[in-house]
Amino acid sequence: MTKPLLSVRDLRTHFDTDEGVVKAVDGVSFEIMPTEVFAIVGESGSGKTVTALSVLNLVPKPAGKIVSGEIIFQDTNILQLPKDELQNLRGDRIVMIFQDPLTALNPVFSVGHQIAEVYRAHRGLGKKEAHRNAVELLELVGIPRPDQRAREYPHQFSGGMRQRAMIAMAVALNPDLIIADEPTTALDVTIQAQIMEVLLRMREEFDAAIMLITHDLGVVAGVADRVMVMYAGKVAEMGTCEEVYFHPRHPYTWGLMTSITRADQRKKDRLIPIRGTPPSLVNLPSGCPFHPRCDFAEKICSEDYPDLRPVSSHGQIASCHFAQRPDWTPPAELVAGRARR
Amino acid sequence: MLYFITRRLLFAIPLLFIISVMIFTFLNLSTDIAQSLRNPRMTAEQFAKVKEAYGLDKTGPARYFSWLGNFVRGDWGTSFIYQAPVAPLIKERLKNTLMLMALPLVLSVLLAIGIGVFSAVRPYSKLDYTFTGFSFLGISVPIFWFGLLLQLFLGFYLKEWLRLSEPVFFTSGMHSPGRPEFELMDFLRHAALPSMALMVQLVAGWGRFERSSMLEVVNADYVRTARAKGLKERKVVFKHSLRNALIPLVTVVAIDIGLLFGGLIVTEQVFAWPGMGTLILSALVAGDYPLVLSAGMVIAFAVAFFNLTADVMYGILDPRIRYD
Repeated sequence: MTKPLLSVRDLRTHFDTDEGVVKAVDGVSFEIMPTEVFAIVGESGSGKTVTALSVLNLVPKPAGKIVSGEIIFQDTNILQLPKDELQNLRGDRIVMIFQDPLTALNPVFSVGHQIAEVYRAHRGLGKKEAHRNAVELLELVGIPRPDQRAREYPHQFSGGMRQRAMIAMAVALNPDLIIADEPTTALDVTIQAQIMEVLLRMREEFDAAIMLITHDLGVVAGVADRVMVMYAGKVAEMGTCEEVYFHPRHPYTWGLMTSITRADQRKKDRLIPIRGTPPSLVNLPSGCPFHPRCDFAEKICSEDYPDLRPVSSHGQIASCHFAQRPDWTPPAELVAGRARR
Repeated sequence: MLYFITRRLLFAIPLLFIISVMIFTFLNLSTDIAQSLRNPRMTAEQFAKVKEAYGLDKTGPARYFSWLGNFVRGDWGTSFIYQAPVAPLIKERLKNTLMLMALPLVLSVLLAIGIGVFSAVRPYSKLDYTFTGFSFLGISVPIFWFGLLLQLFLGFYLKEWLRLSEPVFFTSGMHSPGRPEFELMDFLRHAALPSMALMVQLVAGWGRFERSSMLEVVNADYVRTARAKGLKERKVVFKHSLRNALIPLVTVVAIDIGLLFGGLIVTEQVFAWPGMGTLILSALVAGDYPLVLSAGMVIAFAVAFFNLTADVMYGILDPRIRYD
């Protein structure tokens, strides 16, 4: 078996706020294999983005703090790296693409300059050479007239073009891991597919692994190798894409599935939303954090936290007291729409 | 851009015209200018002659337009109190004010940027609170009082403590009597105290301003992108953050410089600096309207010019802004 590229163990990232300690990420463990597409799915505030920022040790300080855990990337613990080595790793081996390309690029520098900066910082290239490389990258991600566009400023780019530029910046140095934090959320639906296509093409080109963060299960389907579902800063369920899609074992995952809109949706197949709102991370419910919103909760759910337990022989795990019951599958009315597929 | 500048310069003409009318009107309403030329021993006949010589026998509008006609032709008239042509007088005083302003301005901008950056990078730290404390002190302390303190401690007491025959910093004037017009060390020893008085105010105000505009950008997404790219912290702060946080400061500084041209009336008065401030004050008190009007025009032009400079700088610094 190959060694994992990234292995996160018992990560806990907390934020000090006026209301109390927000446990944004609380005991998350996972591994990403080389060239794998690993998706992290969950609602807003489930800890996806903080998990991603923790990997690059970019959690906003001083409020945010990684209290414990290990993040091992290619045999080094990122959390113990000295500052300069961490900076060498960022943008070179591990890169990040952010959610909102409108604000993620600096408005006062040309797009080409911002891409060239990566070469200058990490490879010490001169201005001209770095710029030439930047133009090539823009061409690679499908930006027409890259020579001219490189000299333009972010506000002269459309949202999709900006995200392409961000991808170009990310893949500049042939990274091992691309963290894509909701890369398509801020874009038009028509552009979303194009951007995913570029991202995946870059992955093939450069043999990189992708950590894909999204709240949209539709984006994940058919793209991800493995999926991790997060809820309230914890792992709810994790498994291969097929397992999580076709044999979900956590009622929260069921809820996520039934709230996807699909092209073949019929009028009578209503979307079934998950009732309630995500819990306050300062004051989590007792026991299973999902139990107040769960239609299947029993007494034990409010008393004990369900540890992650294996639910298949291939490594699927779920954090539900009943996940190991053989008949623990989404009820018929929930899957009604899915069965017709 | 050229179109924008031309248009703005053309707009300045009616503005300056209105300002000159206002200065003239208010000045005539507030003082009886002819009286300032009166001498108790003059006969009524002699006084009428003097009035005629200065054109004071004509009506207000007539005097205004004759002044305006001369002014645009470059004849700025003769000052009543100095009994000398106005233009060279203003030129000399403007030069003195600029000499006093230049160095403190540059130092203040640099200090304000430094304070703003370090406060914003570690907000609510001890250093930040220290800077904040000093800023509020600098903003709230009246400049005449602070100037007096400087004169007392750094001018007078310092000399006593060090048992020197002459003070390290002089408390008034631009150069020592009997010395040549300009000698660098002598000038600096005279300029030091008024410069300090000026800088305390500028640094305090601009420092606070820069702190808040830095605070707005240090958590911006593009700053996080810069960090995620693996740039050194120095580059993240001084390039990606500061470059954005400088845009508003440049505007404020440019506008403030225009205002400073009006002379630092209080500072110059406290330190007896022969600049625009002292000139205007004495001219106003005496109702010396050729001098007040011309000086007013110079100041109004400077304010308009630096406002335009602020706008042009804005366009250069921020690529999102286009003037066409």
